[in-house]
Amino acid sequence: MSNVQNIKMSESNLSESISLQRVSASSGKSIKVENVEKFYGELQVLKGVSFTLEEGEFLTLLGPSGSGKSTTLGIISGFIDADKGDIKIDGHSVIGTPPRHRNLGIVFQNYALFPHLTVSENIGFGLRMRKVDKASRKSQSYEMLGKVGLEGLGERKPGELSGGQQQRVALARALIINPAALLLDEPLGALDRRLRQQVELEIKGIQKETGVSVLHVTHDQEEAMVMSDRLAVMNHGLIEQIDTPTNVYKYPSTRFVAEFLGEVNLFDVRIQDFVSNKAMVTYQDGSVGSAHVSSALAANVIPGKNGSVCVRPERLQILASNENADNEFTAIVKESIYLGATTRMTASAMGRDIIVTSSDNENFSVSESGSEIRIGWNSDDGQLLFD
Amino acid sequence: MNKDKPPLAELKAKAKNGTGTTAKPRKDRFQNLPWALLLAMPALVFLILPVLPVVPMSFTAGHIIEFPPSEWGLSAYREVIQDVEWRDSILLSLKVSALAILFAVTSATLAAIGLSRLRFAGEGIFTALILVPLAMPVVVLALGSFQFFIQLGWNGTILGLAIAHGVLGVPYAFLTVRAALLKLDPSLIRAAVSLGAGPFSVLRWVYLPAIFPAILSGALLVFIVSFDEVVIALFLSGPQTITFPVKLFTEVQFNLSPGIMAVSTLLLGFVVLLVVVVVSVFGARRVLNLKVGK
Repeated sequence: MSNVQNIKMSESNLSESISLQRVSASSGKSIKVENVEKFYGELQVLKGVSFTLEEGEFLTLLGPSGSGKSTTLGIISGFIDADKGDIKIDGHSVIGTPPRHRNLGIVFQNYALFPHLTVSENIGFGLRMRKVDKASRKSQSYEMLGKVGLEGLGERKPGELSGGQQQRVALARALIINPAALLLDEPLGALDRRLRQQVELEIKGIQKETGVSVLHVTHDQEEAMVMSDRLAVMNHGLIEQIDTPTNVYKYPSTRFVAEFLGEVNLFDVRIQDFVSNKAMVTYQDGSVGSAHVSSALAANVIPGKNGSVCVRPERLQILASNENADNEFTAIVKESIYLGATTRMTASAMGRDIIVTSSDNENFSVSESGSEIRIGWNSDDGQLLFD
Repeated sequence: MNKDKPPLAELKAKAKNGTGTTAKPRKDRFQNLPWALLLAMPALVFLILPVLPVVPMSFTAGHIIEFPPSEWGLSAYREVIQDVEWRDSILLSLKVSALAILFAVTSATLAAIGLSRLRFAGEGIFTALILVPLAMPVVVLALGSFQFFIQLGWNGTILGLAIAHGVLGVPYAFLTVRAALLKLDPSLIRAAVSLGAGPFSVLRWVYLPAIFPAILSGALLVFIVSFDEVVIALFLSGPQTITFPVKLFTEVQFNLSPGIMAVSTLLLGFVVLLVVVVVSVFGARRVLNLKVGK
């Protein structure tokens, strides 16, 4: 095996000099999606979607199935026609441009490798379509193989490779045409969990190295968090929030976004007062607290209005008797589960279950079920949202 | 597609192909060879036994047909091989079959690809129309072709025979190619297009490789349909265009001799050889289009 690899590697080294320029020259272009709408019969699947994939950016469209993320990708790639709106690649509208002239590299969920062609022929397919001669095609394919870590597998058929290897071939095939942008359509869906985590980092690494712009579609929030520069969370044909992973997680702008990205505790409140980015609120049990308000929602915050405060489980603290927090109440512990890195506790307060997680296992384990505890959080950790 | 996919993907793939009924094939006792042979025996007996006496009857030294022959010899074969009419009719039939394959396979393949890409209301009607020759009595097709070809002056020509046989063969080629297209992953087409492939390149690099085995088995079926077709050929053949089955048919009617037994034996041997070769090269499942999944 290693012998074969060595031979192949030296082969590709010989021909490398010819092709280096083309492959390393790839730098990402921008894609601008403007107010795109799409109907299937009476059903409106996209209700005015707008966003910009910046040059060299890794942007993820994240959402449940039916949220319109795949339709958006289909419209950008040209396989689906938009009913309204515009798509601009590198500043030029591509409405009416057939998919084969859009110069986008697409990686499909099932990889869609041509089963009858070898791995290197698969990778070189886009060059063949661009009338690149055979020798140059082959040397570029082998260089790409090296980039994605598959030296020595060029003469295999796709069926002889593992899922992860096929995935990398698909990536190499899309990258070799020096695309304006790379579109990833749930590319990790067919991989098992451990392999997926590895490939996530590999894709991110290749993207950084080549500088290509990537638009990635997935329903897996963890995948989106790991790889993306920015996330666009989609629901019912609209983008609910678009921001960095940290901001989307910490400062969700809607209840849907909060719940889609990990676990949350939601508490119903009535707004009392609003100062700069902090709202004073009253909880159902009459206690008073405060919550952070993101600037996008500031206009909606009117005293007397109902909303909810969203707090991540790891942001809730169990207060010692001498500790205080901006928001506090007592809860009855239902159960504590030790998960290794963290402990996860379910407690009931105000007639509902709340979840608390902590990496501070020692402090947690003292809370036996049935015991009464005080739970609290600071106003920056609670986010005011509207339904 | 590959052998070591994670189980979830495998299940998904199976669900997609609609064949996810059992995880592993149950070791059935009917899969054992003796049982399988026993079950196949009635079919083998009824199909093959009536054909077999032809073989010894052809190896006679005399001029009359008898079973078993009173004297063994190869005179019938000598007679047949020297007879130019037999040779010409076989050559003609091969030419007609070749043309019929060309017509039927080309039109059936294009029709199958076209219907697989378009989704419109009349699709079912088109498919039904293509399959009509399967259900139509051959005599009707023969009579219709005969009447039509009078206008065109195609009766008694190789072209006329080949077109009529091609019509008869279209459903077979269409069904095999369509079955292969149903298994074709549509994202392969999108992948090719996204990489810059035009319609011709998509045909060349995606469709043809995927349906090539089906085209071959379709061609084999059309050959079988055309090569032993007698009804249409009886209507359409002229003095210069007597196909092999027509020749055989008229000889049996008017000139029953050991030569016919020799011809039949040769034909039998040829067919057995052809089937053995094709099946051993492509595998029985693939030829009969029973291959499940990818």
